[in-house]
Amino acid sequence: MKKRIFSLLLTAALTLGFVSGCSSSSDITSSTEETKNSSTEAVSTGETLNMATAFWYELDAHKDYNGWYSSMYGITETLFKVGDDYSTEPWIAETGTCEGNTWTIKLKDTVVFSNGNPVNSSVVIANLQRAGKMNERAALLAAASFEEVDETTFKITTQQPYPTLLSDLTDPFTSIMDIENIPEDDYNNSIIGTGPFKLESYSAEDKIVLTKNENYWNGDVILGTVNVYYIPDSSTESMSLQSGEIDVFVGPDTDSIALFEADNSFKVTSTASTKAYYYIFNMDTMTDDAVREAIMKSVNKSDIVTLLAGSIVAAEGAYGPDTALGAVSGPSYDPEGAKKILESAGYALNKDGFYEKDGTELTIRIAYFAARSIDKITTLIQDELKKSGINTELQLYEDPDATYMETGDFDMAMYVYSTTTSGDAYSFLNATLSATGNKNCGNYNSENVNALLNKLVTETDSSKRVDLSLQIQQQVLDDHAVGYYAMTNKVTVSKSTVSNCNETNPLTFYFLTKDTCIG
Amino acid sequence: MFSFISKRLLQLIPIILGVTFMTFTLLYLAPGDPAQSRLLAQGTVVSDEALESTRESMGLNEPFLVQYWNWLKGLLTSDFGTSYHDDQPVMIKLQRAAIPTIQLTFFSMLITLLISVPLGILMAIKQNKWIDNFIRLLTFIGTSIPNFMISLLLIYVVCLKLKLLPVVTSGTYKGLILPVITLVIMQSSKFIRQVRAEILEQMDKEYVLSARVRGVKESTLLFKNVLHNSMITIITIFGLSVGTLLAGTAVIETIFSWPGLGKLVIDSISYRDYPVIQGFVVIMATVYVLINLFTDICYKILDPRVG
Repeated sequence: MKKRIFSLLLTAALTLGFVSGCSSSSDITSSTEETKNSSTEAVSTGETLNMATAFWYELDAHKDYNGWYSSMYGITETLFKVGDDYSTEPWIAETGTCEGNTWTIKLKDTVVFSNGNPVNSSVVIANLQRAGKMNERAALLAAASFEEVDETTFKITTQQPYPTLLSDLTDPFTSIMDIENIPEDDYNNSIIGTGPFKLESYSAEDKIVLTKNENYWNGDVILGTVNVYYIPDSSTESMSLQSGEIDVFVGPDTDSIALFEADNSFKVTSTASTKAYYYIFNMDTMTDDAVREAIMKSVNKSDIVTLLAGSIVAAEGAYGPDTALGAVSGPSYDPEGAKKILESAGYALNKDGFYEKDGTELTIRIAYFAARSIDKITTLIQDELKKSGINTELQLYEDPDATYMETGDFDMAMYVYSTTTSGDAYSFLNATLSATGNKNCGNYNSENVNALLNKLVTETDSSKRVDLSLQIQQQVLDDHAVGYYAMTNKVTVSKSTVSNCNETNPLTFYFLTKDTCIG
Repeated sequence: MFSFISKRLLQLIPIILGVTFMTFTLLYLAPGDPAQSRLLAQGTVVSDEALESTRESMGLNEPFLVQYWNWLKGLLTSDFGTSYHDDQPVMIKLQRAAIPTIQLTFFSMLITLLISVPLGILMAIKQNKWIDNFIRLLTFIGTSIPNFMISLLLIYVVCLKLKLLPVVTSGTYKGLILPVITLVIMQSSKFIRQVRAEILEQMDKEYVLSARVRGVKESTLLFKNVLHNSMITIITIFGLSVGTLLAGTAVIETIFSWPGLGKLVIDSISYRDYPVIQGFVVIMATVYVLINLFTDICYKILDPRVG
């Protein structure tokens, strides 16, 4: 009898040992309360993950873009988050409903900070008010009024309709921290958030040590410790991974991607991010639609993708090709078709092999700056335009903020922009395509696009917002005003056993999760 | 000597004023501004209102001379202001970056001196022999290879293949070894040839010939006379190099994740972080004046004939 009991116990122990560790199997029962967002139940291993970051920011999440990093490190969370498909998902908040200019937000009642303090309406309101004061990008929050309804419900009333409030509350500058218990001048050493990890130590431009948040409201955290090393050079990051000193990093250079893909002991995951490569035409100088269309038909997106070997993916619009917002279609690559268009418009080839009309050679001034591979792409496009008989004059600027585009001293300008950080398209489309947009450097002015943008300002239905955004992009492509051609890839490189680092989310500020593990 | 030193120190004032004014002007004229750099750091569009509000809070809407005067007033009270990029006190940022740079400079210059002078002398004595030709070939290679290439090669061979050192050193003394080796290779490649040339030039002089004729031992001649007379040139070269190294070597610091002044100032230029750049310029102007002063004092000690 004793032997039988012992055998049963031994079998049970072996079975538990078999299913424990880094597994997303639903057979494992978590000891923590299940939550709506938890799709994996895994046992904590207490292991240490070593990761690298190429950029160093401080940890006061409300300031500047610091929140991108406190979120990446799993220290802070926001009321809502952006899903892999750009949808807005509940996170600390449960629901958000709108009536006129007032949004009512209900918080989850299980959320606590890493020090055990509860997250309630007054804490959240204080955070949003602080973010509104500290961050210049939070103007709408700064002007809003807040009202606490009960412990887990509060209202935000804005001066005008704010249909994108919930998606804007995914921005990490709205992270929720225990601000009452953090010294105002020492967030770097004292930050307290709701995330799966809490800060253990901070050494500026060197290393951050994170430990598991034992009080994490959303389930057990697998890892015990995370070391974040500051390694600004991508070659050094790659060699650190190869030597085994780090386990994962995001953003390898092009040459390293091929190296890691060829080695089974590493894993490379690529997802279209939210940074779009595109060119604009100066509508004041490039008045001939035939020329603009011919140029767009001469740009071979797959050549550009091959050139940048894994770091970008071809796109038709300003958003990921596999997302709802990216479902548009521009002129396809057809250099012979481009020539026919030019010839129909009265252009003829001269003795130098370039098209000319009325004795004037067609020469396009292309403005660009030499970073983010834009210089390589521009040289390739120059070559492709030459094959279509279009001459070019390259104008290189040392100006990463793109003020060279604001001068209007170009026919075609190349740039790369983040087109959304919240899953909504309005900010980018309005700034770059509206007649009054501050980044509409090509002076594009379409009645239809302006009308569609006006509708977007007040539209609250998310699927209708997607539809309007698609119509805007399609109009711009049909007008041959802007050529979107690629999205940068968010490339995560790791040891093959590392997983659950939000590899499939297009935004870089989602990285560490409670399920991140080494395996 | 005291009045000599005082005069040189007083020269600091017009030098700092001139250099900082020129730097401020060039930054002011450069395209873009700190507000844009700060708000566009992640490549997202921002509204004109946000830009204007940021410019206002940074004082960027003030006239150029008012901005410069405001900064200068702070300097007079040792307040270098706060960084436009992250609002940290500039003095703290510079101090934090200066220590790693001083460490790098000290060790690399010490080792360079210990290698370059003996080898330069050896090459001069064995002029055109195989040892001279061999070391010259090595120095040629050392000068030709770019510093970033040397850095990456060292990491690849020493850390990845031979596993003698970790790639990630996280501020420990192990982190000094490879950047120091890189700098020693770069600096020694130049200095060895310069020391050799100087020694050879001295050995061609008449006092050397007459000493030989009088029967003075070669070693005595070399170490008591030739080397002594070469020291002025050698000190000049090293003095200039110390100044350059203290300004930081951004590429090496980036590759080795060594948080020194070079990387700080290159990043600050990208961010249009005027207060940090101005603070750096003040410190470097002071450093160069002090180094030149030290060099001149050494001249006087070595050769009282120097005015």
